Amino acid sequence: MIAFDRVSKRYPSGQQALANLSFALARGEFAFITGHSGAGKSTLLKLVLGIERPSGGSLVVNGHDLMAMSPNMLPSYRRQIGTVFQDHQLLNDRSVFDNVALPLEISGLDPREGKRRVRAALDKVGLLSKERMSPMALSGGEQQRVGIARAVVNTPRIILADEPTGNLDPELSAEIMALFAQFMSVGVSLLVASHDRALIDGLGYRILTLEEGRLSSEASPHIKGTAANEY
Amino acid sequence: MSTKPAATASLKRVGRLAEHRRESARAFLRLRAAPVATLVTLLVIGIALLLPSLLNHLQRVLTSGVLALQSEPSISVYLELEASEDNVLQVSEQILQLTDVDAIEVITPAQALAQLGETAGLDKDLLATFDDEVSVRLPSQSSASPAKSRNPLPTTLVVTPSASKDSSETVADTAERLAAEIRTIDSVDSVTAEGAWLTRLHALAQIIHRSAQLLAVLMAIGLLAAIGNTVRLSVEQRRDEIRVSKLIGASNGYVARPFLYAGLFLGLGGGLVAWLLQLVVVGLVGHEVNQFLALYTAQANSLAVSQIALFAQRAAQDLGLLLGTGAALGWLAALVASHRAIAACEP
Repeated sequence: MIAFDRVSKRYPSGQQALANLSFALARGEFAFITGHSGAGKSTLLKLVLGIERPSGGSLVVNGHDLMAMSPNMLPSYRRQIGTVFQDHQLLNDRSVFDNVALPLEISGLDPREGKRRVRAALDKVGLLSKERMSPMALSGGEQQRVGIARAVVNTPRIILADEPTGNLDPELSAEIMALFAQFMSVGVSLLVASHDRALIDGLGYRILTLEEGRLSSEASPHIKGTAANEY
Repeated sequence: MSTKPAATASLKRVGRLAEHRRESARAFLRLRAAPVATLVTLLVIGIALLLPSLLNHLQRVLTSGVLALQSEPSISVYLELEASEDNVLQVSEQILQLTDVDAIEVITPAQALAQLGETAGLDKDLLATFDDEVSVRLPSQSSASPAKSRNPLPTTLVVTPSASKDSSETVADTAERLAAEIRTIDSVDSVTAEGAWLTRLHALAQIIHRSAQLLAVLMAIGLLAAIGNTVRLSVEQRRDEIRVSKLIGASNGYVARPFLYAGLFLGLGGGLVAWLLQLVVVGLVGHEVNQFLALYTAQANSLAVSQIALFAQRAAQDLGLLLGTGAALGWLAALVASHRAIAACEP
């Protein structure tokens, strides 16, 4: 689903964020990206979302060549990806329901069909009873779950998450990861940036460690690799 | 929840119309959520639209109220009071021999008196006291009745100039020239060329018309800037929302839609405010305008049924024009401003 081939990214300031990075993520595969802050985790996710463009190499996501993609193709491309942000990025002037419905609204989905999907997504993250509340009235963990519901409501093939457990205690973090694992089991590819080694080491998924923009080590999945299909 | 990718392609899409209905409702609610700011903006737009519209109205009233009634310049020739019917004939013939004279209408003192009585609303008995010259010549025959005075009005010739063969001469110029020539004829007491004030009024109407046009252009530029700025600020306020929407796949066009509706609504609302203000202003100064018109014509003083119909027709025209202009300017300003501001909100 995601194929980095000798990708490098140098910012106009001269900073080399990524250098000669190659890895591939298969359909239904769950991988973590870790490393110190500034190692290139955020840049990697920005490249996949098309926020930044690689300076060299080749990056193909879900069949789209991001090196050749024109800016007006980006919106429809991004709709195929579910994104979970560190600070959840919810709209506080809309209800939980409307926040989750936003991607469907953008896609122009029929509201009746949308309602069903939003309910299903909220049910999945256990927040169906709070659909009418404002995101501000929810706890941090609940807000992050709303963010996840919004990311999956459009049934994306790929989910990206940038430090999704950054502000959560270990118990809530484990819950979030368990939620991600459920999506993986139905064929979604997940790429999750996290610096919480204690959390992700115990989960047994593939771990890509970045160091100064290079892949320094790769730990293969040793427990739950069953969903990783042939690539 | 299904995660089959194929499902994405076969989603049931909502109609374009329903989408626009939702976005316009959202834009309306946002405007209503900040009533003070919205009202101030509407007032600014309304006043900006009002000024050229009022000038346009004034020019129209001048044109239709005075100029249409007296669109042809004419020369009034007042003969000496002593002039006999023979004198009248002689003078008429002399005038007809001048170049560029189209027609002459003779108004006898009796006709003039009757006309004066009508327009000034004088009492019939009072008019009867100036009956005619007969009573003056033969006072003995009517000794029983009160002594009648002589009609104080002179015989008047109304001369209509024709278009001059010399194309460089305007009709008003022709009238002025003819008036000078007629003044030299015997038995002529005084001459007034009505083309002069008409020309001045025409010029005044023209100045007002030009000013209205110029003002309209300036106000349009000002409005574009004002509405554009309002829209730009509201885009800035929603920067986070726009950034998130773009990250999850909203196009610039999608993000801009509520702002375009906001611009459209502000323009429409401003047009309505301008129209209402214009009704008030016209209502307040309408009396003065009518008095001004009455100085030139006798007919412009009463509010006849036909005038009310004309007023309603003009008001409807103005409403259409103001709403149309407001909507177009609002939408255009929002289009330019939101396009730039939204493009700047990159994630």
